[in-house]
Order: sequence, then structure tokens, then C-alpha cells
Amino acid sequence: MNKALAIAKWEFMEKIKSKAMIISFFLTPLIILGFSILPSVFAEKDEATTQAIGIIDNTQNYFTSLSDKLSEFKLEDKQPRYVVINLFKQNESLDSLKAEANRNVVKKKIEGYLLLTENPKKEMVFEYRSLSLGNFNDYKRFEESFNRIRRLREFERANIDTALVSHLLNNVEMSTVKIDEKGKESSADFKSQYFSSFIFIMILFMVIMISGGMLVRSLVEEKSNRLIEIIVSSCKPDDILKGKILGLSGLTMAQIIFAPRLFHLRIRFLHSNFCRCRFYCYHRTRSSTDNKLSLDDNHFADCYYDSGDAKS
Amino acid sequence: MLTVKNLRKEYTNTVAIDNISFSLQPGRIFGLLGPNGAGKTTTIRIILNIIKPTTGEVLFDGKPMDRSIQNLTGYLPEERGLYKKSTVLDVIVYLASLKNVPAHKATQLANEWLNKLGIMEYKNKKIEELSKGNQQKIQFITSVIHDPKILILDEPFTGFDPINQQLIKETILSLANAGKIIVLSTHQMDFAEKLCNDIFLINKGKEVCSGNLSEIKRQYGTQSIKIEYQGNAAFLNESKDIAHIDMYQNFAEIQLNDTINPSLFLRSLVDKIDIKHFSIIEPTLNKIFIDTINKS
Repeated sequence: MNKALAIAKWEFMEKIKSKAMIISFFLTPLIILGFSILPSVFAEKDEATTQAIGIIDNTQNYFTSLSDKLSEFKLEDKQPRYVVINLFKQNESLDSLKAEANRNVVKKKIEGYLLLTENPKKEMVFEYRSLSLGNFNDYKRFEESFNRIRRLREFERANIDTALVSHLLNNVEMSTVKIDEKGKESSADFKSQYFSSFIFIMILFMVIMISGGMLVRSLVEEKSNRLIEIIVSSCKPDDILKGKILGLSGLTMAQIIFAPRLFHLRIRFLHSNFCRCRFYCYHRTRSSTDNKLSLDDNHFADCYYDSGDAKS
Repeated sequence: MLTVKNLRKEYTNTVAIDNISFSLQPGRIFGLLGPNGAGKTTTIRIILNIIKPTTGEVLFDGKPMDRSIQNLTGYLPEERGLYKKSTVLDVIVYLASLKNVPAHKATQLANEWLNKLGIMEYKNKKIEELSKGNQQKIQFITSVIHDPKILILDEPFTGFDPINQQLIKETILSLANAGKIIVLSTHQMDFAEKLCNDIFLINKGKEVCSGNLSEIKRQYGTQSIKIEYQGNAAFLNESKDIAHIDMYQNFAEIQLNDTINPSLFLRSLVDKIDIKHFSIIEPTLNKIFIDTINKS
């Protein structure tokens, strides 16, 4: 085992001093950051200006409600986030309506359009069509708004108390309490469990990928310069492999731990997103317990999309 | 004592070494000689426990050469290489640590050896900044720094200039005098001749000649004579008693046929030419090597 440690120390110290390793020390955190954060940053980045959204409501049932609902979403400067345009025309086929809407999208007269139709089985089909389909926030708003309108309308049609339904639709949030082996309760919740797992998996992935590559390069170097004969005549093959895996994995770990700040940023970023989801749930729950049951849930929109005020 | 017993190594379609046996004594240099592909390196690798023999065994002081003895061996392979981006001292200390030499002791020994071989100024240089000869010296140091009991040197003189060859030769002799078992594998017969006490000549995996070098020379040398003369010695070229002759201005080196007695041959000469000097000469190791390999 001493020899395995000697090999591990050599691999660690020699590689850590190399220029390539020093450069990759800075590149690796950036790569991790890029792969883990940038996609969600771009996907959740809201437009800062009002967007023109068309609606083709072939069912002729939802345009007004949906238009009203979407006009409630505001930008930071309190201007409407969406301007809704009715693209439906009587006596025109759906295909021609879609063709014209597509032309408007291509000419960038509108950002995109929502298509509401029914399939042959009389089931609702709800589509968002646009040149750019990368923003999750838009989808969530459109989908949530439409489904809420549709659900409440169906309940009304079935003569079910919509206030009760609205109450029932509110989720009760479950919190978690971690009990350690001594029976002590701690406040470890989903967040810490989730992010510790996330970080662990990321580290494991990076360690396997990077140290695996370095292990192969190291063996090829020793094989080509014949040093392997001297090393094999000095220690067991098991020790050589153990030492190399230990040293190179340690090196990769050091490389990843070097960027705790960047990981911290990543956690904070995801944490902020998580908070606004929770705030929404919390707000809805509190409303229901106060018996403030109403179909008008403007507060939902304001709170859900104003994460900056979550704590207040 | 290192003993090799009935060693045989087979590969799929080849027998690399075939039932070879020899023993090595402390304080003596053992020449493992043979043409390319004879099986020398395979033998060395088996001794070092890098590869396993098909049959046979290697014993050190009566015990099998296993991993417990690997700290007692030093090996200078024929094909050399070091970590080019690392410093001289780091490489020496690392390879010494694989032989269980503590770092502080290895550093001290490295300084001594670097000083001894005249390359102290390169101590903190990267290997790639050194000349080939100096890299060879570093590799030589890594094979001896842990004071091994068995030292295996495969072509130790390759790449050295004559001055450094002399330095390495003297170092090897001093190690032998210190009681090390030294195996010297080389094609440079003049060095083997000057250094080796015993030789083992191998060809196509089989032993062709072995034993004490002086005895082998005596054994091969009784039919070789050198004469200095005056007169016309042209008749020697047609003599049926002579197997081979090298004629010079006033002397000749003659290899007599096996049945010819050198004294009787001398008598046959004195009537024809004026003999100034007559001696029985030992053949060089190079000649023994070539003759033996050709015969085998």
C-alpha cells in the first residue's frame, strides 16, 4: 500500500504542476458552470419587452378569457408582457388561418401564436407556434392560464361549486424533517438533499471522465518510454493501478473543489428559482386557509412571477 | 546467490528460452550474452518477476524470487526513458520510493550519486533539458540508488562517450567489489571481456556456452598462436595444419586445426623461417562469441 501511495503522490504532484493542469483548473469550473447553468439561464430568461401573441381559437370559446388572463402578466415596468391579437376569422379555413399566422411569425409581426382546436375525438388541442421555442416561462404561463380557465369552466358547466374546486386545487405543501441516528431532528429539507445529490453526481461524473482519461495517458506514457518495466519490477500491478486511480482521482477532486464559489453561485441560482415556486404554493395555501376563495386569482400571477419579492 | 533452474518460456508459437540454468555469485559480474532475439531480455524479465516462466524457477538465497525480493533488485533496461517534464531529483526520489527508500534518504543518496557521476549541476533541471548521455546516467542512478543486492544492466554503455563509458565501467566494478550480484547483458564484447567473471552465451533460447570466462578462453585458446619471424612465410598460406591465418609484415596470427599440436607445429617452422617470437594466444570474447554462435 505504501507503494500505491507513493505512486498516487507522484501522479498528483507531477500532474498538478503541469501547465495543462493549471489551465484546466480554470477551465473546468467554467465548463461545469456552462453545462449546468447556461441552458436554464437561456431557457428561463424573460423578454424585457412586450410580445405580440396571436390566438387562433377555432373552438371560439376561449379567446376572451385567455386574452384577459394573458394581459394580466406584467413586465418589471408594469407594462403588459403580452399583447394578444385575435387571428381567428369567420368563413376562413383553419389551414389558411395558420398559413397567414405563420407568415406573420416569419415577418416577425408577432412573436408566436396559440392555436386552440379540437381533434376528431373532440379533445382539446393547445399549441404554441413560434420561430423561437426556447423560453420555458412563456410556455408555463400559456399552459397554466389556459388549463385554469378550462378547468373552472368545466366545473361551472357541471354545476360544481367553483369556490370549493378552487380550494381543492390548492396544494398542501409537505415539508421534510431529517432524523439522524441519534433521533435528533434537523432542518435538512428537499433543497439540501437535492443539491447535495446534484453536486455529488456532477463531481462523480467529472472525476470519472477526467481521471479516466489521465489514467490512460499516464499508462501510455510509461509504456512508450519503458518506465513501466522499472515500475513493474518494483511493485505489484495492483499497487500501480491503485496508486494511479487514487492520485488522478484526487487531482480531479482538487480541481473541482477549487471552484466551490462557482458551485455556490449555481446553488444560489437554482435556489432562487426554487423559492419562487415555493412562494407560490405557500401563498395559495395561506389564501385558502383564510377562506379567501375566489375565481379571480390575480395574486397568483403577481406572486408567481415576482420572485424578487418572495421574502417580503 | 541467485540460481536460475531449468527456465523455459513459451509463447503461442515460439519457445523464447528453453531449459536454461545458471547461478550467480555475489561480487561477480555475470555476462548474459547472445545475438539479437536470443532470449536475454526474456530471461532478465523472468528474473525480475515481470513475467512468469512456463516452467522452471529463479531462487535467491534458496527462496523463490517473488514480490518480497523486488526491493533488492535494480534494473537498467535496454530501452531507456524517464518522465521528461519532471526534474532530475524528483524522478530519482520517486523511483527510489518505489524501492521503499524514504524521501529524505533518497535525496541524500541522489546527491551522492549525482556528484559521483559528475552531473550535480543538473539536479533541478527537467529531464528533457539533459543530453542523452546524462539522461542515461540518471537512469543508471535510479537502478542503483537503493543499494540493490542484484543489479541487472541491459546494455549499460549504449549512448555514452568513451570517458563516460569508463566512468560507468569503474562504477560497475566498484559495485561488484561491494558484493553485488551483477548481470551484464551487452553486445559490446570488449566491455564484457574486461568486466565479466562468468559468461552465459545464449542463442535461440538455448545455452551454447557458459562458465568462468578465463577457463572458456583457455579452452578456446590452445589452438591460437602468434609468431614473429624473418624470412619468406608464404608457405603458411598453403599449410594443411592451419585453419585460419592473419598474415602481417613480420608476424602472423594463426588458428591451428584441432588435431595439430602447437609445439610440433613450431618445430616444423624453425627449418623454414627464423622465429623471433612464439606464443599461444587466448581468443577474444568477440571471437569466441562469433565462432560459438556460428557453430550453434
